Amino acid sequence: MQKEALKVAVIDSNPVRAAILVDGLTGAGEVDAHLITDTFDLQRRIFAMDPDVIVIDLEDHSRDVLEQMFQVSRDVRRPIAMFVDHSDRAMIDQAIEAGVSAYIVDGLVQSRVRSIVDMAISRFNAFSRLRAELEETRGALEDRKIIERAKGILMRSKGVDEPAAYGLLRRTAMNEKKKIADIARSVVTAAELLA
Amino acid sequence: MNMDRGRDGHEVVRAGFLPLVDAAPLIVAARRGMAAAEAIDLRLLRQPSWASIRDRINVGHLDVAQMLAGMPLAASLGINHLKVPTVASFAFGRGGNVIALSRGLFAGLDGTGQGWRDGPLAAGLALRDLIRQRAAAGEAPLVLAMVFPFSSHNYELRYWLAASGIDPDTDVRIVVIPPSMMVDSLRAGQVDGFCVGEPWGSLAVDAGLAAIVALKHDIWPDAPEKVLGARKVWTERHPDLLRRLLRALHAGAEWCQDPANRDDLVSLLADEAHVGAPVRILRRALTGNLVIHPDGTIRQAPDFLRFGGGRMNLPDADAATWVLSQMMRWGQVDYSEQAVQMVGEVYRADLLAGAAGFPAGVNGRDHAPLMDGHYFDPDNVRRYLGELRPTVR
Repeated sequence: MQKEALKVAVIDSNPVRAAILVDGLTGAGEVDAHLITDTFDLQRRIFAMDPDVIVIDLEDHSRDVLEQMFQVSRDVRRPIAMFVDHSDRAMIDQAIEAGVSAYIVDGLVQSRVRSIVDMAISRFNAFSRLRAELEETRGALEDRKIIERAKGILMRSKGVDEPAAYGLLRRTAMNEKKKIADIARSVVTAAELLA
Repeated sequence: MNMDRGRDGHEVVRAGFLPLVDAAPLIVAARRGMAAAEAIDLRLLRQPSWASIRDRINVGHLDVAQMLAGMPLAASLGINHLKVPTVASFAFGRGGNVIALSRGLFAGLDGTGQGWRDGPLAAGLALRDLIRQRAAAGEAPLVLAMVFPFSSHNYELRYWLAASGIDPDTDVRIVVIPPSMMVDSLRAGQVDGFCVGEPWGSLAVDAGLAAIVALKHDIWPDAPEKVLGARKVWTERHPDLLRRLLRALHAGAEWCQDPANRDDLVSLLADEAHVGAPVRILRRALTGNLVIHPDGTIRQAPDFLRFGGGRMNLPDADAATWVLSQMMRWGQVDYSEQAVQMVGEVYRADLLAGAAGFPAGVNGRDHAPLMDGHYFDPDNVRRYLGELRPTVR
């Protein structure tokens, strides 16, 4: 069955997240996704695009601009906030948890809209996971650097080899119920103070 | 029971706010010890939009939030969104908004000979004449901005226009622009004027882009502004916590009102985590010494922004009924007796009165007249709406 492609506007100031969402929406087919990264003069842009669905970062400060469009029927077809007329609370909770907000022109088939919002939620969540992992990796890298420095300090000041210096850090961490990186950090701080 | 325990074992309350000067009582209660004194760990969560405040209140990410006067009414009536019974339990004070017109209109306003700089009505009449000239010349309608469909700014801007003989729905185009984008939108020529809360109006004047032509209290000194909003179920589940929170906010409002604390208040608001505007700009709203024109003209308005203290922080259901009447006037909701009756369930003066120990009646006096000389009678909303209509056109 041939369906007309839904026109979806994606408003997101984060270009990476926006790109993966547009990619996902386009890949799912029957969707014509457009990206808006600059929200200046948003009302005019939306008017020109005339989308069926607007997906927007919940944190975007332009959301109040969209809310006004509920009322300005002469400018654009009236979009409504997602699922206001269907009390799908679980969906709304999931979307807000993920940081997704959506506005939908009235009269669209619920299942088609739902798949778009589902896609937005999963891509937003995937993006947050990626970012969390990246931060974790960055943290681990920092930890490793500080442990290397602490080992060097211990090797010089105590005249021990590398495995012994590491063993010292590890034992102290175990005794004090702390992370090795935390002990290493205090060694480096102490060395800097005493230098 | 709220089992969330935070700092020092205090109960956690998550409060949403927007970067505006009138969030001060909430910020002060959190940062100057009033909340802690009530064993509350008051966590301030700055929000990017009013829509975000509404959504996060609805799903419980926020317990309470600074709200525009119309928001608890719109939520309780389910206008354009989910119907979520909401309670306004604290009024953050009075005033704080300005109406400003773009520098690009100055010459045209001068040309009308209405003396547009003499006062709010003169400015409105000058704008009316200018709009008529433009229409006759086939020019595009002027664009005026406010901050949210259910904002007092929307109703005040429309009231001022209508009282000046301008139909807000047909003679101009009214749009929403977030306060923080107001100055840039003026500079880009996308708007010709706006109604916004401080410090954003003073920032536009300071940038040489606009002149302030009316203050909120010119339109109606009793008009409600921001309130503390919460879902009704939250207030019912946490009666003791709410009582303590209201006492803390009330102490915060009294602290804000005390001139001895002004310097501290200005630096607190200037903090990037709160409002994040320059000290000298913030000072204008707090002292009521407003620079209203890029040429440096000052208007002394000591009552421009009052944080309250005393009974001013009681949510005024009668004044909120005026807000509802404006929602009806401009077609956001149909007139119904039930809607009018509902205002008393949303604007609850009894909660703060009980917590702070004063009688619940808000008004020791009658309300002041509005800028067009009309008195608002909350017991006769239908008749009031009938009286208003002829002033448009």
